[in-house]
Amino acid sequence: MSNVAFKNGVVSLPSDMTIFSCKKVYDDLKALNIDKSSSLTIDFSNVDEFDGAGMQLLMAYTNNLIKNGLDVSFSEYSDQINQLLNYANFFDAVAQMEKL
Amino acid sequence: MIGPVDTFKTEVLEHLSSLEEVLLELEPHPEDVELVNTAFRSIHTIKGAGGMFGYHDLTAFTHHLETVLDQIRKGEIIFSSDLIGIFLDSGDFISGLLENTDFSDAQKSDSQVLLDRLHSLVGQNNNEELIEIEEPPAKSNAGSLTCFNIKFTPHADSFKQGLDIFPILREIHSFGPCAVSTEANIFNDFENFNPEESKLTWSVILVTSELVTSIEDTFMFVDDDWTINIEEQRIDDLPLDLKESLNLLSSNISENIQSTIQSTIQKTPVSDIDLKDSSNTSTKSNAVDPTIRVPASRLDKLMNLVGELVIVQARLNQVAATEYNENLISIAEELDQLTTQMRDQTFSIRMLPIGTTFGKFRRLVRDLSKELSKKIELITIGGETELDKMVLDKLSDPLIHLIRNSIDHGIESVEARTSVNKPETGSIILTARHADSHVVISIRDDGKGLDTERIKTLAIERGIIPPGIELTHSEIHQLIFEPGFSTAKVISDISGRGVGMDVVKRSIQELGGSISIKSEQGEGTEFSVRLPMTLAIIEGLMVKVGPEFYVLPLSNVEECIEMSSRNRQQNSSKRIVEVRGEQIPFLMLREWFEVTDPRPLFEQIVITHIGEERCGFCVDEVIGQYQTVIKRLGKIYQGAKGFSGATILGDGSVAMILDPAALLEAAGREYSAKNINLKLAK
Repeated sequence: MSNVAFKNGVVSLPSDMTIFSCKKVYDDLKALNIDKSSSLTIDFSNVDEFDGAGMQLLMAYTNNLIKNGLDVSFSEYSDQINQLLNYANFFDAVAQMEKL
Repeated sequence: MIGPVDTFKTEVLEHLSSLEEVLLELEPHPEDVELVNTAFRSIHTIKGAGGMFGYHDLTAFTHHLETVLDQIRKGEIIFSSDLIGIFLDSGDFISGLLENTDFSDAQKSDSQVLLDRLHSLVGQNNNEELIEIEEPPAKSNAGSLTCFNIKFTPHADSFKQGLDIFPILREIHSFGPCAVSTEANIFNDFENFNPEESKLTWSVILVTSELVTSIEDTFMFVDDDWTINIEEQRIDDLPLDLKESLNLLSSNISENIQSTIQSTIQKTPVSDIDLKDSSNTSTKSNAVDPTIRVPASRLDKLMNLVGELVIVQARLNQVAATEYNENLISIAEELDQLTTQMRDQTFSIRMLPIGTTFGKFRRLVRDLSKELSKKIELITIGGETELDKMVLDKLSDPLIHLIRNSIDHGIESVEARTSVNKPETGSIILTARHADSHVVISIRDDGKGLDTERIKTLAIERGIIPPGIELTHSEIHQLIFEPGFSTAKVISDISGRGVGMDVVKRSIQELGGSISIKSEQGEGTEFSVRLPMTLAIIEGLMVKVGPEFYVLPLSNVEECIEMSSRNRQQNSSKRIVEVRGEQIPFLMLREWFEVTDPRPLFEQIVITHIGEERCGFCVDEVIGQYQTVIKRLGKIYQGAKGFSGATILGDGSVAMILDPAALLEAAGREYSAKNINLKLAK
């Protein structure tokens, strides 16, 4: 069980966002019933472990949400997660997705 | 197949070995910048690779070591002997951490103890976090800033192989301001997305004073599988706006630069970059060291197969010779040449310089001499001498034991040495050299030498020799190789635990080698270990004694002479043949093997040399040169003296391979025993 949750426009990511659980997280994210016209926040508060596979999944998921017209924002990421996202220049990549 | 994690572990151990060697070199030369740089590179690589493979605790630990080494490089700290001790202990600690990615509680505690020791010596830089270091390490040269366009595509299975991109990106960020981008819009079909497969290509514009080699090193563990392209251009050649913007960059990247980078990437498709052959372009996948790693077990299998091939070849040669078929003989000869080349090539693959094991001996001498409060210097000569890997692996323990003995029993304390006008620092000289097809390793110390009186007394006490027997010094020295013999008055941590020189001797004999000893009281002791270069194949001289065939190693053979009628008439146990004025003792093999068949009319004596001594072996017939695959004798034949193995002949029969040194030793022992009994009877 990956513990992906969706409530009040917030998708809560599970604690393990690594290669070891990304398949399950992917299946859970796909299974979420997201209202396509709303904005959505991706919440990192539960995330303890995060690797390249987790970030790629997050990119793909974000891209999918943006493509479906959602306004995506991110919240509650720790300094460590923020640093990893900055290494990959994640937020600029998201900005590029929004432009396309 | 060796996985990336196994490669990582192997390479960490290699770096630790190199680090240990460098640290031991640094102890007498703490000011040697090049050595400090080498130590830094080892630790830096372990740290970087550790992070890549998920060894985050290891990365955090090595980060502290790296920081201190960096301070040493800058001249802020002197590499003291105590500090070297901590680094050596840290190396030992790291080597035990590779089984699990995270530290156990005990390991955490051990790492803290080491770090406390480290920081008590050099102080702690409190501004620094463990892993999340942002400041670029001060490892750059003082050259101008350069701009690199780095593009890399991880292998699709890289996540599954445990190869993450974050350590790579973190490392690149540590080099200087950079702009990272990827094409996330490739994920157009989320419904069929495979999250376990790496899809992204990464592009980085980096401004740094680092050399391209430093950036290449970042990819050293993935360069076989990932597509990596590093294109270098001087920052002065960049457009002004980009140059200014990059100079302004700290952590975030402006949209302007991002788009510039994107356009650069779009202008240069991956395929174009990969195929570009430019002098200032480094394509890692094509510029790797042309070596490959294979498991040692595969080499062993290859060696065994070549051994079987050599046996079949011998059989073919035999059949071809008896069939008198010219075509067959021609093919057999051609195949024989190829087999010989293949044998030699396979043999050479397994050869390693003995110097690869010298590092651990230096460490041993350092640690034990400190423990025993002695001053000892280890001098190594001939580290480039090559030896079969299998021999080398098995040789390590006996050599360690011999060196421990020299440190514990041989070299005297500083006070004892100065009282007899010897230099305070004792020396142990470890020499390796080729001699024929053998390697001779000697361990010579300038210590107190063997105490012959004490050895004799102890041997009598232990019942090894009877009381009242008169023995030469050399014979007394040989007694230390007897089982259960120990001259230590007090059992120390170093030796005297019951595992004595007999075990050393047996280990060396199991390798087909021999050990000899020379000692002069007050002057020192020298152990000489003589080993075959390989355990697999030898060139032999086949001889016949009675109905049996035997093989003598050709490397020992000097010449064959016909036995004179005068020699044939000798019946005493001492047999001497005169060869060009030199008296050479010989052994009648048919007597030794108790052959009852009638003696042939003409017999041959094969003159051999063992070390500097010459001796002969009388045989019924010399058959000729024979390439021989050595098959080890099973445990059931352990007691059989004088054989180094057996071989299968072309017709499927077995021939024993004679070990001239062991054979003579056994014969000499038998002769001595008879002599002792004779003396006792008198």
